[in-house]
Amino acid sequence: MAEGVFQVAFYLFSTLIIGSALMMVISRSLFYNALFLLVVLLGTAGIYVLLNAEFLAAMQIFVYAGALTVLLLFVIMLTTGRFKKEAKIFHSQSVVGFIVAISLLFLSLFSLNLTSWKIVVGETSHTLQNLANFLFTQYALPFEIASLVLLVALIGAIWLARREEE
Amino acid sequence: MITLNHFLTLGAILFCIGLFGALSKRNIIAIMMFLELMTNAVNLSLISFSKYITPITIRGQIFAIFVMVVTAAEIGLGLAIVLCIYRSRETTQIDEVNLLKW
Repeated sequence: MAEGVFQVAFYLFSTLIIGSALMMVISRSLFYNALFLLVVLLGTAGIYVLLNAEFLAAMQIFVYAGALTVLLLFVIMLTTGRFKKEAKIFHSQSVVGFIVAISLLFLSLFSLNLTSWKIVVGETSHTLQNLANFLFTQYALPFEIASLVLLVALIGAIWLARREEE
Repeated sequence: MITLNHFLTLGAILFCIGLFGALSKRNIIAIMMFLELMTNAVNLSLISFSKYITPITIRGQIFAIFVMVVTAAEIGLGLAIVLCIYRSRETTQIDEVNLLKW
C-alpha cells in the first residue's frame, strides 16, 4: 500500500517537473517562465519529501521557491516588463545546444544504467537532528566558509547593483 | 518499485533540459533560470544518493545544503550583473551584448 502511494507520488511529481521544465523551454514570456520555474521547484521539494529529506524540502521552498523566484520576478519587472512576449527566443547556436544536451542525456542514461550502485538497505536516520549534528560538528568549517561566501555575495551584489554617483 | 535509477534518470532529464535552455535561450534572465534548474537537478541526484547509498551518514544532504548556498550566491550576483548590463546597454538579449566579441 505505502509502496503504491510512493510510486504514484513519484510519477505524479516527475511528470509535473518535466512538463513544466519543457514549458519553460518553449514559453515566450519571461514572466510565465518564472512561474513555471516555481512549479518545477515546488515539485522537486515534493520529490525531496519522498527521499526522506524534509528539512531540505523546507529549505527548497524557502530559498529557491520563495527568495530566488521573487528576486527573478523583480529583475524581470525592472528590465523587460511583465507582458512583453519575445518574437525570437532561441539564438543561432540553439541547434548545437540541442545536440550537446541530447547527447549528454543519452550518455548519462547509458552510464547510469551500466553502473551497479552499492545500495545500502536501511531506513534513513532521523534527518533533522542528524543533519544538525553533522553540520555543527564534523562539517563546521565548511559551514562557516559557506556563510562567508554568502556575505561576499551580498556585498558584491550591493556594489554591482548600486547606481553610479553623478 | 522505485529504485535509485528512477531518481537519477529524473535528475539527468532535468539537467539536460536545463543545459539545452541555458545554451540556447536569448534572454539572460531565462539563462539564469535554467542554471537554477540545472543545480536543482544535481541536488536531486545528491539527495537520492543520500537516501540509497549513505542513509546513516547523510552526506548527500549535507552536500546539497552547500550547493544551495552557492546557488543562492550565484543567482544574486548574476542578477546584479544583469541589472548592470541593462543599465548600460538597454537590453537583456545575450546576442546583442557582443562588445567583446571579435
